[in-house]
Amino acid sequence: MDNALYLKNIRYSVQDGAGMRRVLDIPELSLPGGTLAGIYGDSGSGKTSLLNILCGLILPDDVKGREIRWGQDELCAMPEGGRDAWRGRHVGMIFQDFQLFPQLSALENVLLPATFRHVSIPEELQSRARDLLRRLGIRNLEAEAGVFSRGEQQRVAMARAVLFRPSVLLADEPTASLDRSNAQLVTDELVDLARSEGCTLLVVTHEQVMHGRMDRCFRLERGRLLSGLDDELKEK
Amino acid sequence: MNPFLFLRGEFRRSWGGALALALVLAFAGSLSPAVSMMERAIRSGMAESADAFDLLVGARGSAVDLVLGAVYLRPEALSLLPEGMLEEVKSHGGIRWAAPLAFGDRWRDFPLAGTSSELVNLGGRRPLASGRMFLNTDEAVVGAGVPLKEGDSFAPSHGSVAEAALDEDGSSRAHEHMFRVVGKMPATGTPWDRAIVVPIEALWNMHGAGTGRSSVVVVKPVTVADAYRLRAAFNARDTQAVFSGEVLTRLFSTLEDMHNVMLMLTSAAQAAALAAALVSGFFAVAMRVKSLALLRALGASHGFLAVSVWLMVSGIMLAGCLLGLGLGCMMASAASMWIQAETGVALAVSLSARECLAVLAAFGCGCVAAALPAYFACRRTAGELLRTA
Repeated sequence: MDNALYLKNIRYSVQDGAGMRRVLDIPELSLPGGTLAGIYGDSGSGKTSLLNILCGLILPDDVKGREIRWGQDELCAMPEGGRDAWRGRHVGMIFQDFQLFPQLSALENVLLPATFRHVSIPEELQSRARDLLRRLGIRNLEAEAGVFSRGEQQRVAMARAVLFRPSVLLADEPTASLDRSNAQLVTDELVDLARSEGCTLLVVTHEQVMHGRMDRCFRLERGRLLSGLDDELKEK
Repeated sequence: MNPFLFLRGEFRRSWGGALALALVLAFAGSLSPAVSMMERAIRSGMAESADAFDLLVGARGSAVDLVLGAVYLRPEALSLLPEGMLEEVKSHGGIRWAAPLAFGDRWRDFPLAGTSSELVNLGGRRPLASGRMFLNTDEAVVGAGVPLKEGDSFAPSHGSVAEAALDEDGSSRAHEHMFRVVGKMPATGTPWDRAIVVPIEALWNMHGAGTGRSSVVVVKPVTVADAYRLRAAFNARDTQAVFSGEVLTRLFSTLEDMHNVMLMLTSAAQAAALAAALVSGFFAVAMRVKSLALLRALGASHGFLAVSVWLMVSGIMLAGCLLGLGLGCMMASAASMWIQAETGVALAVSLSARECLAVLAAFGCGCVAAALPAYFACRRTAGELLRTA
């Protein structure tokens, strides 16, 4: 799939005590395929909502002319089931708190998405899962995920995200719950993984540990994506 | 799709909650098979106990009391027959054997029954397990469950076993009359395994009562026609003659209503358990919203979520039903052992297709009910799941 991103007229509002509150307002954004982009913002700036919209988990407000296009695939035009199938095929997701099943082994966690499609997991997928885990420094593949360190758990989650060779990799605060050295290690591996797999990578974070490794950087302030800050952020 | 890996992870993570739910279902579901098995065992055990007592002749009164007294050794309400009744019965002909039966007194908790040798060996058709038949009024033959052996001597106490239970002031006293055990009856699985049988003349002597009186005359007719003829002959102003089997059938049909009430209650308990399981199924889904949202984020379809939730709830119900069946068997076995210890009636508890089908039906209902939380889980959009999580 062509993994260039094009967003247009993206608005997203949520209900809170004071009524409808707009958390995202992005008139337009375009990223070439294979771009590694960092989106920075404080808590509550709309980062997670943006990721959920980018992978089709939620749809933006019904505004005329809205578009979420990945290559030729227009998510707003797809039914929910179609977006699920598209996400399963093309998107890998990484979360701040890893979202592993602690009682399953590292290998089983990586292979879990394969059970959505297969009754019996093909040997080539099992082999790829093992290779990915070893490449990310996980040695004991059969150990329960709950016994791993936080850095290792995030690497298991990364292996799970790229199992199907997704064209889009979305990471939500992937280093927020790691110490500095683990955060640097995970960042390096995430960038290497995205480059080697040819993914478009979008990382939302409030930390600056990733600045130097991204192709593009944006700041999200009260739902508005401020472009043209790449150089400023990189200089920092 | 193959949701079993996800389910394994979920069950291993929250096995305590799943086990608790299965146990609640098991306890509620165990009542129905336990009642059903007990009811069948009691019917069968009581009917077998009455096998040797074809026709009973007693004083006018309750036919049920007469059967309970003669067959199950519960003679509290029996009156005495007029003198010479045994001879009168025998004079009618068509009789293989007839034996008088009188009650009263006990040794420890074991009732004394006075009769003749015909009732002990069923007219010569049932030999003793060991020893010999009593020959005089100082000798006794004991049932298989009485802790006396041949050669032992004992002095019975006044009063029946039931009276002894109420004897709080210790007023019951031992007779001076000593008996010596000379034989032991084979185990029959009836209350008579707990009986101490002595010649009826011994009871007459001990109580100084007139000879020739008994509570019951047990009759073994030669033919069915003889049985009906004898019954007609002794259903008179002062006496009654009953077929023990017929009385039991009547008793069972009376108890049928109670059985139905119990079944209704246990069915209500099962329905309540099913409803609780259904509510718990929704709770189980609510507790796993985060996991379900994660599955959606990783690309799982609505169908995968629905099948996973359905299997999760159905799995808990299957475990509950199987545990309930096992628990029901254990409860029925324990109850039968208690009844046997109390009454001597051997109850053979067994699992039949009836209980298995009932459990299967309950599980089937559970599977259908499990579709509801599954439906609601898959109906929620990814956005809703994420907001809830």
